[in-house]
Amino acid sequence: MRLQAGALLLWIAGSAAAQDDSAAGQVHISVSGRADLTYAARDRRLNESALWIPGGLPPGSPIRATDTLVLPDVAVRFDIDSPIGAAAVEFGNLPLHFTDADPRFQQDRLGGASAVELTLLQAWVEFLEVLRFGLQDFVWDPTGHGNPLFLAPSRSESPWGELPDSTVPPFPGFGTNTVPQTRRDQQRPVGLTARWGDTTFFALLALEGGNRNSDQSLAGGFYDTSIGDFRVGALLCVLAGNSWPRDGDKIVGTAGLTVTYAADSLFASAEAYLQRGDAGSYPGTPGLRAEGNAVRVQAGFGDTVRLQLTATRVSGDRRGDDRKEGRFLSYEDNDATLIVEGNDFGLDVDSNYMTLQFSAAVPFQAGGMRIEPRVQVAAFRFLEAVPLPPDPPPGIGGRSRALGTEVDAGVDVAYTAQLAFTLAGAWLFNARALENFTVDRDDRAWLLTLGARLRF
Amino acid sequence: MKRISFAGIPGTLLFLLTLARAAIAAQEKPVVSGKDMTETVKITLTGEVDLDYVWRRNEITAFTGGVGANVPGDSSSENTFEGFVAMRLNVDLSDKVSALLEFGTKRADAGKLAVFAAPSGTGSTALSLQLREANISVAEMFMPELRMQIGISTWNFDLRGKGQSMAFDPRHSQRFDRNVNPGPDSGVTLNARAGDYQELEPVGVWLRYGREKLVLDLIVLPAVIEGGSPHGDEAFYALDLLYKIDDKESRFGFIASVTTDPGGSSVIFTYGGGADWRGTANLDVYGEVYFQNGRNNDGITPTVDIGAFAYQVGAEYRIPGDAMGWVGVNLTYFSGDSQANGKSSSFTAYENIHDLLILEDMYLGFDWDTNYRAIKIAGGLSANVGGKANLRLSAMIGLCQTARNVQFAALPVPESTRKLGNEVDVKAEWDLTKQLTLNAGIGFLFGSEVLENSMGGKGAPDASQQALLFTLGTDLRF
Repeated sequence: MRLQAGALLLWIAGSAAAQDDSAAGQVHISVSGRADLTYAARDRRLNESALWIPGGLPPGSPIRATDTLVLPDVAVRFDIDSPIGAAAVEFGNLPLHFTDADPRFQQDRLGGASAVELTLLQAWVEFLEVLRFGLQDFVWDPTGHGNPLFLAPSRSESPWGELPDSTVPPFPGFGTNTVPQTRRDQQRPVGLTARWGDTTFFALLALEGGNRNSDQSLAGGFYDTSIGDFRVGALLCVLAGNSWPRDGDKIVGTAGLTVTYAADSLFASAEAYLQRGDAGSYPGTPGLRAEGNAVRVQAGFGDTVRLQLTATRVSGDRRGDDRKEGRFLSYEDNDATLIVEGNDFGLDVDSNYMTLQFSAAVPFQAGGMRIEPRVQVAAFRFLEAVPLPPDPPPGIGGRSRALGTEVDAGVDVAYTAQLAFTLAGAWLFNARALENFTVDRDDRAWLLTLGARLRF
Repeated sequence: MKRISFAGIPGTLLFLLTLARAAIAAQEKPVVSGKDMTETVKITLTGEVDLDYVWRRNEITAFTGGVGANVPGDSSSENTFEGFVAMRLNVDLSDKVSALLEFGTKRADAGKLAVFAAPSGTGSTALSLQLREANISVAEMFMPELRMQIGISTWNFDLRGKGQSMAFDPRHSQRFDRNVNPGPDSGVTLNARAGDYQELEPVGVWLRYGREKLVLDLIVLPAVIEGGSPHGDEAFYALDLLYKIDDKESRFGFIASVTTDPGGSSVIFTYGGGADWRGTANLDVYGEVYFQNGRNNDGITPTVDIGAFAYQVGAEYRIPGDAMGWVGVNLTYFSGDSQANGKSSSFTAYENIHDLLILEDMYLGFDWDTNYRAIKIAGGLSANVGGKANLRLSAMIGLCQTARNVQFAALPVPESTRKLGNEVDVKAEWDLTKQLTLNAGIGFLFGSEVLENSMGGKGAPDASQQALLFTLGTDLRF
């Protein structure tokens, strides 16, 4: 034992010497990563309605079956710290990537016929602790409460992917946008970001389309600063469906303002975004004027009991055949509720809706673990009844705004500081709008997840 | 800054390691995690590069397919480079929590063998990196003896601990019910059995209660093969017990398992056990037997009743001396089916026996894994070539038959035979360093009427009772 202790000291001394080498220009590499494994059971009605096909799927379709899967989110990150700046390389699997019209994660689940493939998730270099260049995670969460409403391209699908709408019958032609869309995807933005004090600028390519007229990009800047108990922010952003304004017609500007108040156990926040520009022209349409907007207000209390009230309104389109695009175009990652808003396993409704949500959680310690039971009730409503005109209502159903009420309940168990387990269930009911998209005219759906989350 | 854990390392060795600090860093590869990851005690990076040159005569490629889309009657010999590359991260956290991640290429995936530089169909010959392992373990779950692993399960039931499970190694096996057949083996069986490459990634929970002598496992794998709906998944559930009899690692074990497959009525129960006795200094005697019953209608109508069994007995004697010689004998039996009566008597399992290069090995040969009876006689010795006992030579003779006749009713002159053939293998492994091993093997199959008739019978193009295989490779572990 004595010898081991001595050896340990020698080892530490050696490590210290190695650290001293950094002053002489040695590069240090650290490795971190994650291993998240989530088991999900998805209701057959959730599978079916996620395709948003008016009238639903034909009986016997394999998608109309309750589905179970384990979704991995595994990554290893190498941070390279050298005297000239930092760099990072991260690879792992991309748990959500849009590959086809089947919403059931066929390429992503564990245990499939073929092993999960790995991709490059990040590769960037940073100069002077200001400029970061390369493939990078980019998320702007101005309120600090998660679920960013506008700018999280590395957690979101392309907003342009929803324009135009699917051409799969019985959908109408291009440019109609008459139904919601569930597109599970995570962009891998590449480009330049710069942080200068409280200001951040960004110019990122979100989707390389070959010809510059086919690229998708975003550029702009935001400013965040603290004033007493308040934190305020402002954003200006240009989303381009093709690279540069002179190249085409898909250019949408977004302005946003945010304010957050936090003092003692109380917090409140508000954020609002306004869009103007050209959402593009498609066959049969001369061009669409972008007129989207979004607003979210939150207030809460956090102590032995955590309470939160959230109101969100994200604009939608009124008709699919006019010259206006009322849908709020965004790289959002708002997964506040599991079914309606959830990008992982739910419907990922991200525009044309309003919601009022109330959540409560009671964290406590037991057995050395932090345990947090929580419940959330959310009422949803489409702003414009779907399917939008001119798409005819399927069958005997009419257009509907009723997106229903969702109740989520779950418990988070922090087994250690780096390993947590989560059990969650969600129940959506009175969602009469779903009746138009399920062959059995169902207005409800359920979801169950059980996950392990590990960080190292 | 995280440090290597020194627990369990003998003091002298530790001292030497510390004096040679650079060498330690090279071999144990401590990796530093982020500063905010305060509980990451140790990350160990290891890996493996397995590269084999394989030459298969056309009688083998006719059934494995190869890269030239060979078929019986139009096949040719092939030489290929095969193997895999893997990088493994063992992450130890405090509080007895650890994680295992492994990335790399796979030797077998989605029914295909990964061949280096082979056309992929997508224009690139590069092999994709894939997730090979991903699991989280909690070493002391509520009590010191209880361990839990979730994720891709590394469980198997290998009574002898030699890496060749007779019926329960889903990581190196195919779909469980692939051998379910209401009729006997026929002229298409060899084609169906060979060239079906899989390394399944069973997902679920493995609980192990382990004491000094007793190990009790509960295995819940709802997605051995993920098929969407729970009714579309292949699932496996088992309870096993292993008990160590003495300090020579003699032990016995039992297992009871149930496998469900798609089809609505596909439930197969497998149960049995065995013992491995190493009670004397140099003799190892072992035997295991498994029984099977249930029903299956996965891709088969109507539902097939299952009734099968399998066993193996054997002994291995280690000859005292520096040559570390050994001789062994083994009888392996997997029941087969003899008639088209709507029942399947062929034993079906996640087997991973690969003693014989041509008849048994999934990666190299035919992987004939049911309706099988083999008497295997083997021996080997070691020699000092630049190191102590670092060259291992072995040879094996396999006298193999099918348990029940294979019916070749479609031949011009219908045949029925059990002659699967006799195989002679010679293998060599040479440890150049602790990390690098060269290996070579040659397998020769002869007297196989099953092979000849599967190729169309006497006089048919390429038809032969013989097959030949040669392999030369390296295995690097770091």
